[in-house]
Amino acid sequence: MVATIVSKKILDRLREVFKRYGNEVLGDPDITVAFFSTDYEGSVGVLLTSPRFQNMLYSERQDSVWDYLLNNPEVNKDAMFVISRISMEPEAVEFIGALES
Amino acid sequence: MVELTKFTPTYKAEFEQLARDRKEDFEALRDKGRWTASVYLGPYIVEARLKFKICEVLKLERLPAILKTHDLYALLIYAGLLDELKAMPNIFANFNRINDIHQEVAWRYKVAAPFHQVDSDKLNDWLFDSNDGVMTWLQL
Repeated sequence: MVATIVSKKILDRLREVFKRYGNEVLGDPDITVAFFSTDYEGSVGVLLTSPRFQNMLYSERQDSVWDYLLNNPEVNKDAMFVISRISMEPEAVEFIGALES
Repeated sequence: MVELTKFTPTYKAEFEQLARDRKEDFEALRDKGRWTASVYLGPYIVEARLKFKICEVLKLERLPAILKTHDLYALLIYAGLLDELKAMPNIFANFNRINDIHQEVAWRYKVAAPFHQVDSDKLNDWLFDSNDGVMTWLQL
């Protein structure tokens, strides 16, 4: 898999958004935000890890994070469009292609 | 070496029919309360429809073999629809949700559970909502 070219500025902005999501929606200021590379230039995958996901169904997790991104006026939509998928896990998992965490 | 001029054996018309077939399968599974399997199968409707769209855009009767992938994001790019999708944030979000299911290997091995009805109902919305459904946008 080829490393994805996304500016550090956008990744930093997205990390801030997901940290705020963890804090405001999940009540977890310690949510872990990691990015993984995709095959597509200008696109990243996101892995969020928080024990608060434990009791949420798959679709609840997806709706929770996407509703936050779509309905929060502070979220920069251009930054949002670099995301090709968001995965959410209740505990840390190892994955291949990590950009940074 | 990647062979750029090879084609899959499946024809454009078959992908078009395949998308309709997988939609009927998705509905049949939901009618029978097979919620978990319906979530696993649902994203194939999008995959088949995008493969049809690629053949249409490239004016090809068969799909190029290099696009023999389950990656919806790749298929979206080669269907020439990425920018159009980015102009519609709600559908973009639904596409992302479906893409994560399709890439998530765990769904293949989940044991059937009644609480997956919630996930199946949500997937049904992400696919077929009259305003923001991905398949509504892809005209199926």
